[in-house]
Amino acid sequence: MAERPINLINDGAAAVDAPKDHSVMDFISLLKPRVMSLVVFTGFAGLFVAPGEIHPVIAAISILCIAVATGASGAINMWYERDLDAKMARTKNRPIPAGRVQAETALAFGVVLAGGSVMVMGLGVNWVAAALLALAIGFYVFVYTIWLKPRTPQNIVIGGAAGAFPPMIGWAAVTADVGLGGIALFALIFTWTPPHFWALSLYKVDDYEQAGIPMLPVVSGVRETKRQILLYTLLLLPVSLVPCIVGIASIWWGGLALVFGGIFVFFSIVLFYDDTERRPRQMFSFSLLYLSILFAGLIVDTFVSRLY
Amino acid sequence: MNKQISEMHKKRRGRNIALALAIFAVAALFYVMSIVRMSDGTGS
Repeated sequence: MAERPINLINDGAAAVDAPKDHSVMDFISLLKPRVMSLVVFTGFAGLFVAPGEIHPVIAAISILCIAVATGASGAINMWYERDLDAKMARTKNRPIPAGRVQAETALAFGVVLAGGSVMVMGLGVNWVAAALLALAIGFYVFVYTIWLKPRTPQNIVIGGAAGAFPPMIGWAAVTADVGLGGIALFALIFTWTPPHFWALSLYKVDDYEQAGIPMLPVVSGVRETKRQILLYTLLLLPVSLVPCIVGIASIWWGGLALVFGGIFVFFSIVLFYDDTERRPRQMFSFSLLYLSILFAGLIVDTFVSRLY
Repeated sequence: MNKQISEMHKKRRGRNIALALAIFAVAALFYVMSIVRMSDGTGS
């Protein structure tokens, strides 16, 4: 009997026709590890600030499930957008468009991980957190990737909710409830997402245009995008104070949020008036720093308040 | 041809080891989860 390459996940005819020279690193890159790190961090923050106690092992399993579910969503996203990815310089070297991983293999990988993470979260932690995790995956795949992203420039505004779920899931892992604190953290990331992504889309506008994705700068122009970024950073200022109002952060953290929110607004004003190329990149980098500082601050703030 | 088959066997062995490790990791995860939940009194 003739030997032929075997694909463990999809041992069909396609595996014979197209044996791929993939490596473990290709499967890791399908999980979008850079996105995963920030998601895991915000998920941990939600878990840490939530009132109540959780066994450290259960906490670690919760974070693992959030990480795996995020990666699974990324893999499914890469499967669905493989044709678009091939058209954009930023994404054409991803494992599927580069031909290192078969599309069906990536889909199966994503679906198995997504289902597994929800099941483990439900059995090991609680079913409220598992339901939110399933909702986040479904929202990212069906609402953002499949429905909104190819259709409307508001894709990132509504679709951004998917990325805002992790702290709420972390919160629910401890409390088995959604809670005001979880909603406050959700609102913070939800409002932060549009200026963050629009800053990126400003310097990747050619890529998006070539791929036919209706991002805001492609549809409404650079000026309107900068105006929207400014509006959202202004809105973010009061929204970032909600954690203080609902009692999960101290007045000190509120001060930190105001200072960094002020700098965020300053950067968006500079971006609005300055058309040099480096400004959108600067805005994007600062948006990452902003969220990291606020969530790190929230963890420290909670830690200190529990000490005294 | 022999080189191709040898390469294919190597890759297949790599995949099988990866799958075995994944199954072992999931089994270990469920084991630890069960122990922790039972010791917490929430296992029933």
